[in-house]
Amino acid sequence: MKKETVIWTVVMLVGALVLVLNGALRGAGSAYVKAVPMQFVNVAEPGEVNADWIRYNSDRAFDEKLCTQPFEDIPEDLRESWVRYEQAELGEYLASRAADPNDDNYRFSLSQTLGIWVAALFTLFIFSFLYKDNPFYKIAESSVVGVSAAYWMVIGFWDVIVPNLLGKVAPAMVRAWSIPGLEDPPNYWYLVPLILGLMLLWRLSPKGSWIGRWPLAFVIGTTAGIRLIGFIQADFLSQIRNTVIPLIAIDSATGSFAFWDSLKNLIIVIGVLSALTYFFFSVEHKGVVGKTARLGIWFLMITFGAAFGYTVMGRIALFAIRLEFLFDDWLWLIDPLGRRAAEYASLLWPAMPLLG
Amino acid sequence: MRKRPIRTSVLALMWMLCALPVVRSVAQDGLQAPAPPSQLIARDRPWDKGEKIDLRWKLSPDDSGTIASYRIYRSLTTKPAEQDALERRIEDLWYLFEDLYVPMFGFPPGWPEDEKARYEFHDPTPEEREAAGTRLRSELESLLPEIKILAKSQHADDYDYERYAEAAIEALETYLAAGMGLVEANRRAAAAVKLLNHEIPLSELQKAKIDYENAAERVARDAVTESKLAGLFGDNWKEESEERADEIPVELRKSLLDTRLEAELQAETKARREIATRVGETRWKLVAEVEPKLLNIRRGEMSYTAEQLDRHQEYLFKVVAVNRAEIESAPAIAASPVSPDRQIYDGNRLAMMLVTLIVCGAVVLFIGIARTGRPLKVRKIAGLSAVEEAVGRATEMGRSILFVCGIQDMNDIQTIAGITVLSRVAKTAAEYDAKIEVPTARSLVMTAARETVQASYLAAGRPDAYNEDLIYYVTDEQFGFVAYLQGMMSREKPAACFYMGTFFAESLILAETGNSIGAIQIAGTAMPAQLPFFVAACDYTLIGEEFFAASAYLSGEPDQLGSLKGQDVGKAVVGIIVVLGVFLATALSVAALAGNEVLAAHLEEIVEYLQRVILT
Amino acid sequence: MKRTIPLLITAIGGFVLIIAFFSSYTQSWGEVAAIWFDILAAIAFILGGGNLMKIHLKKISDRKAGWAYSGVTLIAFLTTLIIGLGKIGVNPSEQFPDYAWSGSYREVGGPFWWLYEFAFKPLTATMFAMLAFYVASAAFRAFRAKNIEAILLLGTAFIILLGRTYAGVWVTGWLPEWLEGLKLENLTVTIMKVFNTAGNRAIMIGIALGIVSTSLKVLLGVDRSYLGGGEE
Repeated sequence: MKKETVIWTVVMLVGALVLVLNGALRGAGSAYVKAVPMQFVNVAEPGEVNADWIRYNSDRAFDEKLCTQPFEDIPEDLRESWVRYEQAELGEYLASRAADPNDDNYRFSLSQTLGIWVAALFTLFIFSFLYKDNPFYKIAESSVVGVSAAYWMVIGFWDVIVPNLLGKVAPAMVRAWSIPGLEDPPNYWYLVPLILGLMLLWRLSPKGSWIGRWPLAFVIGTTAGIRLIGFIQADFLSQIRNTVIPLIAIDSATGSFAFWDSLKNLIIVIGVLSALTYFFFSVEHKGVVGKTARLGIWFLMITFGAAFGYTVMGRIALFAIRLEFLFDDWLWLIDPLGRRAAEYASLLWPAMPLLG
Repeated sequence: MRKRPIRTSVLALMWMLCALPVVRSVAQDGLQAPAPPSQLIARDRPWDKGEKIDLRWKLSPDDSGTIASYRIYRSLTTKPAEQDALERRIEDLWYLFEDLYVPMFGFPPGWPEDEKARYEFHDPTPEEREAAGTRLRSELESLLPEIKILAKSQHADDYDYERYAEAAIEALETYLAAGMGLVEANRRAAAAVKLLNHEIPLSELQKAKIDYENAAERVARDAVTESKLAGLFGDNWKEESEERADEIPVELRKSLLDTRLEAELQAETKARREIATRVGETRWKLVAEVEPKLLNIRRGEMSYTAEQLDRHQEYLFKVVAVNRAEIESAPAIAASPVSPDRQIYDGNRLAMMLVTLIVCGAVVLFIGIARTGRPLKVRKIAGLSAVEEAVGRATEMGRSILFVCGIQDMNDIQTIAGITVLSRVAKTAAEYDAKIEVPTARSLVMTAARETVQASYLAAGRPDAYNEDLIYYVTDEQFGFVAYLQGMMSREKPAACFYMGTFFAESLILAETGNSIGAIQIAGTAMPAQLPFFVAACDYTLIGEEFFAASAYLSGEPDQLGSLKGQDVGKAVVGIIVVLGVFLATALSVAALAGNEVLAAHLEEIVEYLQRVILT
Repeated sequence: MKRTIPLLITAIGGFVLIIAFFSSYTQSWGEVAAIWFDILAAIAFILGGGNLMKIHLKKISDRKAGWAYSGVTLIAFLTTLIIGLGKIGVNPSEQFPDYAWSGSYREVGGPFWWLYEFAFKPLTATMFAMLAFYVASAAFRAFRAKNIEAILLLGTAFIILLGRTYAGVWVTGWLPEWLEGLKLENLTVTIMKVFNTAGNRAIMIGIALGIVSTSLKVLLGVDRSYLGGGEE
C-alpha cells in the first residue's frame, strides 16, 4: 500500500469514528416526525351517487354531529383513515415528551434520520471531486443520474401524460382511477399528439424507423414558427423601443438639462450601435467598421464582466447553504434557526432516541 | 400578459391618487365643479380580437389650465359563475375568521342570538392567538393562487381579487400583531369585502376608510374608556394600549370593542348611503384617469381606448372632468351601450407583421440572390475556423470529440441550432475518422441528434462508421447531467469539446472541467447570462447571433450564406430606426428646453407613436 | 417520401403557427402546440429511459471498466421509477379518501419524497454549489490573459463584486461628495444600468435576428440537416 493511501485511510477512519460518536452521543443528524391521524367520514345521503368525504373532527363534522360518536363506531364503509407524518423539530419532540412521557404523537424517525445521513454523505461525495475523481464521486454520480432520470420520467407521467393526454382522450378512465375530480369532457384533438408519440416510438421497431422523423419534423416546425414570432415580439422590438432615448436628457424635477443622464443615454446608444456593428457578417472588421466593432467588443466584455461579477456572490451563497446543511441538520454544530434550543450544545446529551 | 405590470402599477397609482382627493376636497369644500365634457362617442375598435372600445369626447369648456384630468368610467358586468364559487370560498374564509375571532373578543354587534350558544367566551393566551392567526394565514395563502389566477382572467378586472387578497393578508398581519389591532384588521378586511361584494370604486372606499378612522378617533376620545385605559397605562395610554394589548382585562376590552364596532357600523352605514346617492342607479368602475395634453386642448377633443373588455358584455361609458381641486364635473355619458366585436385579423399586430415581413423578407431575398450564383462574401469568425483544427487534433491524439447540444429540449430554437452545428461537426469528424460522442439531456434531442449524425456520416460517405451508441440519453436533470459530464470528461479526456445550445449555470462546470483536461473548447450560446463564463473559460465562444450563424458558415452553401446577408440587413434596419428615434427624442428634449411647447407636443406625439404602435 | 413529407410537416406546422399569431381567432394555437410538445416529450421518455437501461445493462454484461457503477445507476433508476409510477407508500388525497390512486406521488413523508429530499436534492444542490470553486478558478485564469478584452472583463467583474459587498463601501468610502459617482457601490449601479444594458440589448437584437434566420432556414428547407439521411 502506498504511504498516501495509508494516510488517507487513517484520516477517513478517524473522521468516520468522530461522526459516529457525534451521532451516537449527541443524536446529531436524527430526525423527528409528528404523527397526524387522518380520519375521514362519508356524509353523503344514502342513495347518493357521489361520496362526500369530510374530515372527522372538522367544523363540518361538528355541525353534522358526527363527532358525538367515536370514529370506530362509524360503519366501516363510511370511514377511511391513515396516519400522516409531518416533519417536526427536536424541540417539539422533547417538549411533548416532557409534558407527557406516554405521548407518542412526536416520534423519532429512522427513515428520515437515515435520509439525512445519506444526504450528508452524498454531499461530501460530490465535493470530493474537487480533490480528484474517486470511487465516492462515481457512486454519487451514478446515483444522481439514475434517480434524476427516473424522477423526471415519473413527473412526465403523472403531470403530463395522465392529466393532459389520458385525461383528454379517456377522461372516464382517469376519473375512475387517479383524478376523481376531473370534469372535462373528452377532447379528441389530443389523439394527434398520441399518434405522433406512437410514431416516435416506431423507431424501436427494426423496420421503417424513418416514420419517427414525422413527429420530429412537427416539433421542429412548430418550434421554429413559435420562436420566430416570439423573439420578434419580445426581444427585437422591445430592445429597439427601449433604445429610443434622448441624447439630451431633462431632469423631470427641475425641467432643466441633466448632464449625467444625457451622458448615460449617449453611452447606451453608442454601446448598442457599436456592439451591433460587431455582429455584421458581410463586412470585414477593417477601417472604421473595424474600430467600431472593436469598441463593440469592449462593450460586450464589460457586459460579460458585469454579469460575471454579479453572479459570484450568489454562487458562494449556494456553497454556504450546503455547509449549513452539513453543520446544522447533520452535525448539529450550529443552530442558526434555534430549532434545537439548548440541548444541542451539550455534548453529554444522552442519546435518547437511539436508546428508545 | 405583458400588460399586467402596467395595470398593476396603474391601480397602485390610482389608489394613492384617490387618497389625495378626499383630503383635499374637505379643505376646499367651497369650490365649484368644472363644466362637464360633451359628445362622448364610444364605438368598437376595428381589427382587434374583441376586447377594446374607442372613446372620443369634446373637452370641458373650462379646459385651458383648470382641468387636471378626465376620469373614464364604465358600467360593471355581471359575474361569471366561477367567480361566484371563489367568492363563496372567500366568504367561508371570512366565517372562519369570525369563528376564531369571537371566542377571543366577544360578539360583534348584531351577532345572531342562536349562534351565540356555539361559543365560549374566554381570554386568549398569546399561543392561542398565534395559532388562530397561523391557521387563518395558511387558509388564506392556500386560496391566494386561485385568487391570482382569477384576477388574471378576462372578467376579473371588475373584482379586484388581488387587491382583496393583499388587503386581507395585511389585515391578518395586523391581527397577529395584537388583539387591539383586530379592530383595524376587521375594518380593513371589511373594506376589502366591500370592494368585492359591492363593487365600489376605489375612491369611494378610500372615503369610507377615512370615515372609519374618524369614527375610531371619536371612540378613542370616549371619556370612560379613556380614563379606564389611562388608569391602566398612565399618560401614554394611547401608545401603550396598542403595545400592551394583552394586559387589558377581558371585560374592558369587550366594552372597548363594542363601542368601536358600534361606531364603525355607523360609519359604514353612512358611507354606504353616501355611495348610493353619489353613484346612482348604474354602478360604475373607474377605468382610467387621463391628463389632457397641449395638443388635445388645441384640438378641443380627446380619445382613449378602453382595453381588456369582454366581447360577450355590453358597456356604457361616462367621462367626467376633474379640476385641480379634485372636484368632478357632471358626466358626459355615451348614448348607448356598446360591446366590443372580434375581427379575423388582429390589427394590434399590424406593425409587428410589417416588421416580421421586412426582416424575413430580407433573409428570403438574399437566399434567393445567393441561389442565382452571385458570389457572397462574409467575414471570418475565429471560433468557426477552429472547428476543423479541433477535430483534426482529436484525430491525431486518438481521443474523442464531445458535443453537447445544451440542456433544453427540441422546443428551444437554440437546441435546433445546436443540432444543425452538430451535423457539420459530425461530417468533419466522419471525414477525419474521429469519434464523436453526444450525451443529451432530453430523449427527443437524442433522437434528433441520431438522425442528424447518421445523415452526416452518410454525406461524408462513411455510413458504416456511424455508431448509434455514442449518442445517448443521460438524464433530464440539469445537475445530474452535468455531474455525469464532469466525471466522464475527467475520465475519457476528450480532445475537443463543443457546447452548442442553451446552457444555464452548468456552463462554467463544463467549461472549467474541459479546461482542466486541456481540451480545445468551442462554445456557442444565446444565453446572455452564461456567455461570460464561456468567454472566460473556453478557447472560442460564439456570441449570440454568431452561434446561429455557425451552421451557415460551416456548411459553406451559398444559400445559407445568403441568409447571413439578410440578417445584416435586419441589423441595418435596427440601426436606422434607433438613430431616427434617438434623433426625434433628442429634438423633443431640445424643443422642451427651448420652451417651444407646440413643437414639443407634436414631437411627443410622433415619438409616442413610434414607441407605442410601431415598436410594440 | 422519407424526406419530403417531414419537410412539408415542418413548413406547414411552422407557417400555420406564424399566421395564427396574427388572427384574433387562432392566437391560442401556439399554446396548444406547446402542450402537445410536452406530451410528445413525455412519450419520448420511453426512448430515453430504454436507452439508459440498454447502455448500462450492456456495460454490466460486458464487464466493462466501472460496470459496478452502472449497476448503481440501474438500481437507483429502477427503484425511483417503480416507487414513483406505482405511487408506493402514498396515501389517498384528502378530497377522495376512497380512491387509492388519488394521492400526490410527491406526498411529504412518502418514499418518492424521501428519494427527492435525501438523494436528488442534496446531489444536485451540491453540484450547483461546486460553482463557487469553479467561479474562482475561472477568474484566476482570466487574470493571466494579457489582452485588453480580458482586462475589461475581469476589471468590471472585480468592480461589481466589490461594489456588491461591504468591502466596496469601505474601500471608496473616503471619496469626497463631488466624486460620489466613483464610489464602488454607485459605480456598480452605473455599470449595470448603462454598459450592461447596452451590451445586452445588442446581444438580444442579434439573437432575435439569428433566431428569425434559423427558423426561416428550417421552415423553407434550406437547412435540413436534422432530417437524417436516406433517399429524397
